[in-house]
Amino acid sequence: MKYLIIGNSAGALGAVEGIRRLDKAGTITVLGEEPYRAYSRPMITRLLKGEADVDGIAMRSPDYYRSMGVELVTGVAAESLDLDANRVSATDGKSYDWDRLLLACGSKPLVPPVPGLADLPYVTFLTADDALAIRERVVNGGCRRIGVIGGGLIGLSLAEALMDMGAEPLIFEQMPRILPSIISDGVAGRLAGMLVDRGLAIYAGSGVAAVEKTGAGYVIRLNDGSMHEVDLVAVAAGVRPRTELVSAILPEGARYLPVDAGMATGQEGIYACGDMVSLPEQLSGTSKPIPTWPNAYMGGRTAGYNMAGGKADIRVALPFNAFHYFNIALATAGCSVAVNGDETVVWDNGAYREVMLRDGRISGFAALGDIDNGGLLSWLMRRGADVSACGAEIAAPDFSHLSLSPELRRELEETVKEGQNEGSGSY
Amino acid sequence: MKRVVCNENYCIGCKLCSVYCITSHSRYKDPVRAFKRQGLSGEERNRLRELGHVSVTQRCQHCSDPLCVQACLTGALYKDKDGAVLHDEDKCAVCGTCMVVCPVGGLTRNGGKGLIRKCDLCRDTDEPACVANCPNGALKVVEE
Repeated sequence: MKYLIIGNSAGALGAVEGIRRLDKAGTITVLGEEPYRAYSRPMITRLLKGEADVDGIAMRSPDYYRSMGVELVTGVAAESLDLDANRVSATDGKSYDWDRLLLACGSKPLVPPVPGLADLPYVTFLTADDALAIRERVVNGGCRRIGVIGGGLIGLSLAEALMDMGAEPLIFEQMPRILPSIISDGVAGRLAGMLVDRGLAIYAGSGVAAVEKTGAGYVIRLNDGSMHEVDLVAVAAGVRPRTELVSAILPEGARYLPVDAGMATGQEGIYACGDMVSLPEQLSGTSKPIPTWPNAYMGGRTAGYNMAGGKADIRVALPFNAFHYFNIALATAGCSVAVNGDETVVWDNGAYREVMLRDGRISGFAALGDIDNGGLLSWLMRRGADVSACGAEIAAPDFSHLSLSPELRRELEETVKEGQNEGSGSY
Repeated sequence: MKRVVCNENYCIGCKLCSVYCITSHSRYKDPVRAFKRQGLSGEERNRLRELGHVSVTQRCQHCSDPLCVQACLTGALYKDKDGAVLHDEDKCAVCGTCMVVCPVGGLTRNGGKGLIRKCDLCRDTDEPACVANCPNGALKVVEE
């Protein structure tokens, strides 16, 4: 069996490990566009700060590809797919055949259509080379005030690293709050207060109207009329799926490539995972993108397992986000901003938590400050447990399994004993 | 795989397991020096849960197919050849993603120090320090 994996990040690692659970002999080829072994994208802050090189943030040991029987081809991108011949042509002039193909192409930065932006040498912060390029501009280029367009996870991680380096990041978020897609006003307001206390400049609630060149730097003009002089502009306004390669199999009008819970695309022998796909989200069952690192890995692993003849659904099809920036912990899971009809249970005493309930079942939560035992809430959410009997206690940081019903406690014990349902993919 | 389990009928909530966990992972292997000289307070690899008069401690159960390893953003968490779930502190970003997926509180985070810790079964010794020093026999090693 010939396996071909396009992409060399979390999804590819998952796929290699999934394939090798069932097939020790098949040949696996991984095409990686970047000239590196798979590295941790969230750790590119260490490259920016000069604390590590790319090898230092590698996800696996140096002999990983050899020991897993993988041919890694780096610095080569796929150019076009021939679906009839099961063949990919690549930028190295070669073509690569497959019996089973995994598309793990990831995402690219979304660059908002701000007048003036496209014409200037802005930076983004998604790859190792991005981080090294920003480092060059800060350390050798004299850039000190850096305008970061976007107050999401990428923007905040960039801002933290820049502040550690002695630079002065300014966050511009067009929505009224930071991290608008994963936390509510209540969480974001408290987090923003803590970040401002630590010296971070945050301008939320007004989009960027234009960016103009001025002298050695740039002026960022917001819709509210205010002007901010910066030395460098960083775009951190979110990501877009990289689906150029698969335009032939992308449903009309779809932005993401849809897959089923087994990560199959519906095309014979072709699977996909990670930031480029939408998949049946676990609570609603509707097809949604879940552009998180754990989802890419788990999707890749499920895909690999199924490519090798297994039959499994992705174990967890929900978003999880956690960070520790500026020495502040934040964790979110599921639908972490209440939607119509959700009941929000709030804990606001030292730490802050919001737990969203839908028909007595957890649909999502956000924890700020103390994230201890957040995994218990995730487990209850994943299995759709009725927690209405827990009342307000569900949001308390010291909520534990001791408060669960005897049936749920037994089930939790069984889950652990079974090593978390190995191979079944049933949750 | 081996794991340490706690019997809540015997646990008296004394937290000596935490004290000896820290001691076992200290430079001096002595509780007073571990806390006073090395300043390891808050670095225990277990958590005490209490409800009314019931107490029990939780720690990593070394799952055969752990979600924490799958969810780890950096490759810091891994399963070693023996099946133990181990944590490379140098590779850890302290993001806490592992804590959001582990159902049993198997990873502990010290906010002030900005670090994550987990049970490594005290693999250099015959018996995990928490088990060896539990005064009421609440902790034991099980192997399935």
